[in-house]
Amino acid sequence: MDLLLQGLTNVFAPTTIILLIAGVIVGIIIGALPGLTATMGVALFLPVTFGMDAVTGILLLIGVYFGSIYGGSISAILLNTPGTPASAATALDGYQLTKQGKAGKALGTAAIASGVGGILSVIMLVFISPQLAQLALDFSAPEMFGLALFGLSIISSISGGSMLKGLIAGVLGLVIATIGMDPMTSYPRFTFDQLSLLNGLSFIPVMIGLFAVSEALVIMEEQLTDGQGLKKIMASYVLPKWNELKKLWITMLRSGFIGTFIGIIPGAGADIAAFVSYNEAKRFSKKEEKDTFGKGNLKGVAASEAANNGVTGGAMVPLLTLGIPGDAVTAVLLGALVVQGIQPGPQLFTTSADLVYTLFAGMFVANILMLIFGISGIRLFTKILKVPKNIIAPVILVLSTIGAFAIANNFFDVYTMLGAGIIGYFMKKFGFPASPIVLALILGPMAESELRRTLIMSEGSYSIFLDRPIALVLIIFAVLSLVLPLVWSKIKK
Amino acid sequence: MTLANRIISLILLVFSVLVWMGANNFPASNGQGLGPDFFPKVTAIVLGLLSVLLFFKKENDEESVFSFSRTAVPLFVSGIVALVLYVFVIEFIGFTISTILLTFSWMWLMGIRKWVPLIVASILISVGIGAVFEFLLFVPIPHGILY
Repeated sequence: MDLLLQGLTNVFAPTTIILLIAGVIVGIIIGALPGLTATMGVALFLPVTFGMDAVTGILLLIGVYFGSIYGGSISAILLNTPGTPASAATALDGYQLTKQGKAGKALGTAAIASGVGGILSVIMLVFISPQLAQLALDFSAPEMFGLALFGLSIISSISGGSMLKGLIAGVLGLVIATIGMDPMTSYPRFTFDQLSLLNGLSFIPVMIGLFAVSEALVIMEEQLTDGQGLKKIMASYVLPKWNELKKLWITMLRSGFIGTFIGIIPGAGADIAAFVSYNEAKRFSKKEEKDTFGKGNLKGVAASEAANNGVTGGAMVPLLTLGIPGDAVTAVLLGALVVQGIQPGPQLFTTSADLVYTLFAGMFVANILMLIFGISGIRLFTKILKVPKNIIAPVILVLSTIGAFAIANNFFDVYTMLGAGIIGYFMKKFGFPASPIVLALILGPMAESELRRTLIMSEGSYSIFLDRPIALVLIIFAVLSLVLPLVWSKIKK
Repeated sequence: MTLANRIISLILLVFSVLVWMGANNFPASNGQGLGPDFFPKVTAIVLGLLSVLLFFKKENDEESVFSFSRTAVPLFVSGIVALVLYVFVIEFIGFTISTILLTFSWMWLMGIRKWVPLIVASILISVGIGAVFEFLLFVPIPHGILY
């Protein structure tokens, strides 16, 4: 508790709080613009933090992350186009409310539900992660291998769309991850005698390419396709009344919990959480109310928004305690932490507890800021939807280029970004998800070196995994998460 | 989509064979544990198997995945060319000028045809972003010979 209060005072240092506020506002704007996702926002703003001290920089990015997950609801509600995939479920009832002239009520509910879900998930993060970190302190090579394998399998299998294509993307990422010096013997692999490849492809440029540059190309394609003007926004700004909100508390809290737990599972992201808790809200409602879902029920908006913001805190749990990113956004955050010289993992809680608790306090404040801006800034944020796409697209490219360059002041990274961007565009077009690649770039080297370390420990015998219950369970989970979806689809048929 | 899948699967298959052959030259294990060749080989084999599966996968929709009309294709290709040129030219002529050219060409390609807004917006975006990064955030930007 002392640590948390100390953290809170750190957060309220002038530069930190100002940048956190800026981060949340920028995040809401990015989230509100259709096509610009949370991952992209955080990746684009990563270079902005290079000149800052670690905590301030990370909190700025966390502000962008949290803000953009909420911001996605604005365009989902007003335009029926989710600003981020996380808000797809919000559009179901949100847009219906807009059509009924109740946009303000939907937007207000979305802001409050996002805040409640986010705050709840941060509270759970504060309670769960130190325990998990304590447990993880005993992990050594076999367990870490199990974790990496589990993360890899689940990410590829539930990344949305075709499972086969998700797996291909993941394995392709694993192959790319072997470029550079071998982690154990430093033997150069696939470097073609290029110095720039010795340390492997740096993953931040790959990330910026896959998530930002490719999106700019998609925006251009869409603009060339329809080229029509912006959709007319019909909005009223009457906020929800207190007695309307009273009926939503239970839904918000339940959805916040669901979101947090789904967030903790590596691979499952905000979009899945929103749909799961939307369905739960429907299941828990009274019979006569069930039919109103999809026709403008505030509970639908509250459930999906509380859940997708609940994911934010949950996703931080594996990132901070185990050093394993559960989704693409936390993968960028992992990159940001490493750039700042912070290696997340169980040791972080003992060596830099003050930093961890400052981050916790900052996340708490970020959620409150998001709630305040969300309610007070509705009118303003709806104006953002009028920014023309043909200005946004080149700006994305320019920011991506600066970002890729600034990591190490070298142009090789910029070329990597360009290549990843063009490949990423075609991957999108042919239905290959991008996040498995990025996660494989992080988890692949980890899986490889931990497996080899394990086998050195055991003098080459695989039976060591039988003596390590936690590692064994994780490996079984990994296999199940690959096999079960196939079995399910067979049973369904 | 099925045809596209097959082409992609063949490319991936060739790629995985190349990776396997490359990894074959890496030193193998020295008796204990695994050598540098193990992981690339395993991933190459898995990728190869998955690409064979992709070859035989049927997908229902046969329509093109690209949404634009024929007339828009040259515009889109020019956009990609402009981006590639931009990335390679920055190193030599610097961020500011090349960014003005990129934003100008992209906005023109995406349908803004009035000269004054085009020029003003490209200069504002380039100088604005450059200044914010350099003087406010202290993030270095490449200057080349023309700033």
